[in-house]
Amino acid sequence: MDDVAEHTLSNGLQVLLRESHAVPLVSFVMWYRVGARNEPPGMSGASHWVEHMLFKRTETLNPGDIGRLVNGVGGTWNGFTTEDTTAYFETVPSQHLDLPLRIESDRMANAVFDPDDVASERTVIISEREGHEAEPMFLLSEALEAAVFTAHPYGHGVIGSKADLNRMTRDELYEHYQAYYAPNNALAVMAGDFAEAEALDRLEKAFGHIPARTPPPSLDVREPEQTSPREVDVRHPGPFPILTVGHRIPEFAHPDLPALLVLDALLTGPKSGPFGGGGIVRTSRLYRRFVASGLAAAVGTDIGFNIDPTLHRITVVLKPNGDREPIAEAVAAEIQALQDAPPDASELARAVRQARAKQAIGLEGVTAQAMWLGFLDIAHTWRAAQTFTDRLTEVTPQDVQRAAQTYLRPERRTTGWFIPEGPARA
Amino acid sequence: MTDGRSLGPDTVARATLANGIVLLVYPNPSSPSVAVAAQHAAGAILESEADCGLAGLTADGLNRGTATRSFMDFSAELDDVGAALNFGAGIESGSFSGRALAEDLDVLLRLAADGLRNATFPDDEVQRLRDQALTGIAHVENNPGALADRRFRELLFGRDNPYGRPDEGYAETMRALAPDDVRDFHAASYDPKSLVLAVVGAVTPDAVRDLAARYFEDWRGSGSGTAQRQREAIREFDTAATTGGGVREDLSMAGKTQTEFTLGWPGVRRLDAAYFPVMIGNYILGQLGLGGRIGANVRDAQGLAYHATSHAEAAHARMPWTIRAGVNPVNVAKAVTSGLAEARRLMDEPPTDEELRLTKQAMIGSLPLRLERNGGIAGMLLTIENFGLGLDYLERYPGIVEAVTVDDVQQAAARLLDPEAYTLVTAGPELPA
Repeated sequence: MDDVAEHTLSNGLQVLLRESHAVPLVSFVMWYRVGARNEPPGMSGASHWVEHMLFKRTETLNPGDIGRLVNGVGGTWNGFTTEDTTAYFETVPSQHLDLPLRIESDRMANAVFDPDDVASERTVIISEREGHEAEPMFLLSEALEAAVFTAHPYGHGVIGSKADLNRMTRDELYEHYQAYYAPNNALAVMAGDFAEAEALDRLEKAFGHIPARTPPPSLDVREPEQTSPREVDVRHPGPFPILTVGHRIPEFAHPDLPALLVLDALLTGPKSGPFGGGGIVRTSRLYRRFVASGLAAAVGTDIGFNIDPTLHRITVVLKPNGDREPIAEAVAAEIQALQDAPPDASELARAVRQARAKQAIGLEGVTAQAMWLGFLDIAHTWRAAQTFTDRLTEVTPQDVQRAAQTYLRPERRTTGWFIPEGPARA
Repeated sequence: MTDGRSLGPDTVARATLANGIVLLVYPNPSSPSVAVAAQHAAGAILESEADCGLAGLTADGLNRGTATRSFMDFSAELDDVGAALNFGAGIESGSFSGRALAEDLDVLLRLAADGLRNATFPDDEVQRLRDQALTGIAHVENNPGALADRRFRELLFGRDNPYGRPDEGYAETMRALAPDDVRDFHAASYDPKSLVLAVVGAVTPDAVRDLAARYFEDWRGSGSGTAQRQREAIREFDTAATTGGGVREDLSMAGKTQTEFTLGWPGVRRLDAAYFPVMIGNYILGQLGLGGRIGANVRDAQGLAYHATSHAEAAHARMPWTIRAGVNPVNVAKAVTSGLAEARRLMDEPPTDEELRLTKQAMIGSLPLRLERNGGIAGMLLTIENFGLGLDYLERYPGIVEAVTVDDVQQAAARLLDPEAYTLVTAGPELPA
């Protein structure tokens, strides 16, 4: 992605601007460098809860106002929290650009954390969690992450444990907010129909008065090396067995990531990050092995784009009452095949062609563009957007084989099973 | 520029092919891609009760093998250029949609035509699709929100009415469907005369017309009069909706912590005069901001639910107007009562000027966003054609929305949202006595 301008305001707020006038819309995304990875034991879910509180009260906004105001100009909005970041976006008709700037500047500095709002949001988030608990996939992911990450906060999930959600206090949440919501710990990304010089001027007016703060100390927890395979079973009422095979892989900035992305694309198709969308490629290795053959009902992979060393996952959804052993053997055989022989150059070339097309289609729209730039910058640098597919092109068949031999080894592996047990109906 | 005002009779090329296919093309040079969307009369409304799921299974099978391509041949042609093409079926139509780089439109149309016209539905492929569908049904039956919604529709319309049945079928009906059933449905219902094809992207109308003619124009179809059969079925089943008189069911599921509920009434048809008043009323009731009045009450004020919203659907037939939320089982009564109180308040208390202003601005002002991507524009073109709204619809749209009054909203709510006679389904853990 070309034509991105980078600026830094005097208070340290990093700004990325991408002008395009195809559609009279502008998307504004405010990213804070705080997520589950910044949460010490006992505080799991704090970043996500703070995100919820930022839709509540400031000195000038009441609960619900932000959504009403943005919808009321024909815009869309939301917030989300991941392992590495908390982000807020508004996409609005371009004549209303000042509205997102006003909202984001206000809640960067002035969120109130009224005790009554904290109390009602506690039960809302517990309800969000209990909604997730209805999904076998959520139960399995949570157990798998806890088994993989024994020390690093990636092991406790973004939404947090119910015990922590019941325990955390208003003041602890407010301190979390105060520590991380500073202009010099944030990134503002704007994409769409605006003029750069004027937008910079407006950003300066909206955010320039918010003082920089001492950067929060990094938790800097290093996950100890894994030395043997791990297994975790979740036994719970459910519709069908699910297998997830996780392997520890490096952080996004690591030079082996392009080879791992291509490896992953061979398995199920290219990903363009969590926002560009993927969609299974039916000629991919795992789709053919599991779904086209009728061996299982569905298959997918997931590759973490994270600041710290993270996880690659292969997930297979079995048919109801499906036999588990052949599925586990087939996954092992596919891993073995990647380690035993480099893929054909033609298979590689096809995966890269698919990645290029998916990028072009996935980045249609100003919201997707602002999301992609910010997401890459959180994980490493927004400049990766300019070279993303080129770096995939440079990956050789030997690179893929070496990545499989290095990262898909048994001692980096954690195998998780969701096993239906007990009646589905009470 | 795709800001709504530019999508009109002067910018959309509409043509009818010799076999009746309607082609709509909107050139949008601002992105390198193209989106294709189409619908035709092969929806689940044509199924019998015993065949529930057949329309969807047939649509899913269109890419599973044709006279000249295996499933993998079909997939490889798409995957080689990073394109996607998916077939589906809903209650009132069959459909397909695809995306590709603009230079690969040829691939999308060639394969779409091959699937629609020449699918052979090999036995083993149909068997695999059935297994996948059964897994999907097992997921629905294990998911409280999906199960509550499925049962709600059964109770509202009846299982003998296609509008009361799930598009994906039931486990028992899917198990009984044979490959020949699929072939028969395809032969009887796939018919070019009802096909509307929208193409949006970096393309020219002439080039699209040539491609469409090459791949579709000599299709005669073995199905005949499908559109007519579909219209008759809609008329027959549209009137059969119950009025939702005080029916409640609580479905108990093991291993769940949260109860999901769907509560509602029969709503409106897309072409009813009350359609816009209902859409505006629904937006105020359960959409604006974070779930409208219901969200403000159930989520913000009481902290009972993460999601608490209302939804008004519309089609050729009357579709449901519902309130949905997920809450702890001890809070079900409180949340249901609050939802009903908000429904009542929509008739008793006029929307404030502010609510009405924001809602109208949201509906009008969001057009650029809804039409930002090629797929959104293609979807809008299908809606315009499907309901005969006219290519000048988006030019008239702001005026239509602005003309809705507070009285219109209150009257529609009073007619449809009876707080005494509703249908309610809860699904989740055993409810406390």
